[in-house]
Amino acid sequence: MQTSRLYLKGHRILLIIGGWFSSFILLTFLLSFVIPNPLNLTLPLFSYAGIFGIAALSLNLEVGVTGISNFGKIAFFMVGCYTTGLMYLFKFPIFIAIPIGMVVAGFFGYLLALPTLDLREDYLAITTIAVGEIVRTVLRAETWIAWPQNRSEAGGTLGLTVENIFRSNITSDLVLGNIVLPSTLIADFLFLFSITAVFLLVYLFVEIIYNSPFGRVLKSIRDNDLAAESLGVDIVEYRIKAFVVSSALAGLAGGIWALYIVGFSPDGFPPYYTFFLWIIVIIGGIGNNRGVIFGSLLVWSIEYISRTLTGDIDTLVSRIVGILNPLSDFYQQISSHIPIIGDFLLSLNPISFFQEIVVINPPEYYPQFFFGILLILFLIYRPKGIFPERPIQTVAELAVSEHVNKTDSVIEEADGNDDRVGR
Amino acid sequence: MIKIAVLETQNVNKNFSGLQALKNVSVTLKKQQIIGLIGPNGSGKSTLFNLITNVISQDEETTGNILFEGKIINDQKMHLLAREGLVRTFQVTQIFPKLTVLENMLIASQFHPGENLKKVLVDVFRKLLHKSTWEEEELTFAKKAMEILDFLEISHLAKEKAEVLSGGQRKLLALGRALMTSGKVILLDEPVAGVNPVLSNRIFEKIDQLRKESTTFFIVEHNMDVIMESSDHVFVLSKGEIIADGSPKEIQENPNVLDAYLGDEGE
Ligand SMILES: Nc1ncnc2c1ncn2[C@@H]1O[C@H](COP(=O)(O)OP(=O)(O)OP(=O)(O)O)[C@@H](O)[C@H]1O
Ligand SMILES: [Mg+2]
Repeated sequence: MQTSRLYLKGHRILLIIGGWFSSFILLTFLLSFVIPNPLNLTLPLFSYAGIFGIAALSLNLEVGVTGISNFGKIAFFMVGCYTTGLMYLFKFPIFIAIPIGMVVAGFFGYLLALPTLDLREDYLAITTIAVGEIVRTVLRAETWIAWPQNRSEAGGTLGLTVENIFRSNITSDLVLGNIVLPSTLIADFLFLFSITAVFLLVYLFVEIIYNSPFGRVLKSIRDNDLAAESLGVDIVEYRIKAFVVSSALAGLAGGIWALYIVGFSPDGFPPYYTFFLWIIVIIGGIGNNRGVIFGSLLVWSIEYISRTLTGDIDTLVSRIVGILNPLSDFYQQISSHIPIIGDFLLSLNPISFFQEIVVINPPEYYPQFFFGILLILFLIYRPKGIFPERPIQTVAELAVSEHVNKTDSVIEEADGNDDRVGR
Repeated sequence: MIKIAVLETQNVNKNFSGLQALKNVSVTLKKQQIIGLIGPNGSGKSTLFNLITNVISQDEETTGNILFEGKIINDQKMHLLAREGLVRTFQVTQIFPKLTVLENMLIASQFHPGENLKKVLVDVFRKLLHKSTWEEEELTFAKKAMEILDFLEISHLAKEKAEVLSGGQRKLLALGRALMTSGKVILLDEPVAGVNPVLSNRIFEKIDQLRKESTTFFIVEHNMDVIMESSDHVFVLSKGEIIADGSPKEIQENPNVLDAYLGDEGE
């Protein structure tokens, strides 16, 4: 039987690895025409996309598969991030610090799940938003959660500073003939490889869950909990399990984030990040894990590249406004000749309006503005995302194809009989 | 042969803020029988099913007992009842729209080892060692599901999403899922509404056959011919009260029943 094909899907993993690294090379290559040092952009970009990809996969398990609207995802990310960071500062090795972060985040998910998971969907959404904010506020208010300790009088607002383990362990440059590879570059590359490896493992893990009867039950709860219950499904138990597993995965993402970003504080986890994850899931494809990987890459590319390219936005805007100034003058002249409403029209000058908008909205909001439009377009024209959800694959498929063969042969026999009668 | 009661309600009541939907309703279902439940629209048939399966709870002040296989199941959760073999369908068809028809059926498989997360994760490694995994049961369940779908004449749709099914096909799917559970007592709320008469006759033949094997059926149905022909016993509800019960023949000859259907016009 070809059942093993249905189980691990090695070919697809290769496809994803290939896609991931070829887009890395391609993007680096394309950016080399625009900016002098493209690796400075693509290395962090892909690392962010990988870390957020893990969190987005876990969100997809909740939202796309089980139908739990979690709008406080960042809280679990933050719990994992802080726990791993603290464990690291307590001198635990990272292969213990990260799992502890996962366990604590998972346990936090369990505590939250008990009272909330039988809430109606909209109430659950509101509750989870609140939880995200509460965690952030608490971490900010607790003075002891700060490192180095001498900053503790500022409260938790300054957060923790840990170490980038790759950068601090790889200190010597690599010399290959004429080419000198700086140590930081090697360290960043190794970090990216590690993130990618974990990301792929998490992908495999969620795919195994997804393509199992367990995943099918989760989807049935999402589709119709009354029907699921009437067929013997303990919906609360399944929802709790999905929520805990997903929280632990978010904790894993947070733990890696702690080690990658090195210094972090509560204000580095705005609610915006939760919505960022939602955008990744919606654009990539709700309920499709491959879509989520793609979505993470796409959304982070937009965010990060525009963040970098708009660094110099002020000069750009003043140049545009400079070109448009004669138009503005013209508009002012015309409206000053109009009686009564002239003053009012003057205040509506579109060019100064444009300038004002740019001035009051700093460039870091541009990607958000863009995501808003993108999200609306997707929800209208492609609500299933770029990669729509597909049915789960288990050996049950064999029963169908067997069945089709059987009925086909019956039909053929019948045809054969007809022929004989015809003759 | 003495047949034991598998399902029993004793004086159950339901009041919807003033509207007495059920008043001291007592019914008894004997093993391996097909029991019909008829009555005009709004007489409380679906409400009785909802009370039995604990979708809604009984009135607090006037709680009667509901017994399944001799055990009181008043506050037992619906999924536990289903696990023990008390299964139902709904009048308003409940499907899993984004799952395929086959997946819909497989959700109904009971005690599937693959629905256990731990087992799924352990079996990844067993699979690598070429040991047996949940996939064996999965295949067995899938074959059983395909047989049922075949009987219900929707097996060609096995790989389609359930949302594309027509109204009648959805009814069939819901019925198929109930059969898939191999429940001991199956409550069917208008199982063949909107299904063509030829197929609906075959379905009742099938129900008759399953009943002989071991299952008990409690069926709400508005089609009098079908219900009178296939039931062993019929209960008649009117305005929340059982006004008659007996063999189909007795019911057909009972003048109260006709009155109930003619309603206030008869007065
Ligand atoms: N959840 C509810 N809230 C309020 N009233 C309800 C509710 N469910 C049912 N009722 C009322 O209880 C009465 C009985 O309803 P029920 O659905 O049991 O009727 P039925 O016998 O199944 O009718 P039909 O043959 O039309 O399906 C109706 O008058 C209905 O309005
Ligand atoms: Mg009804």
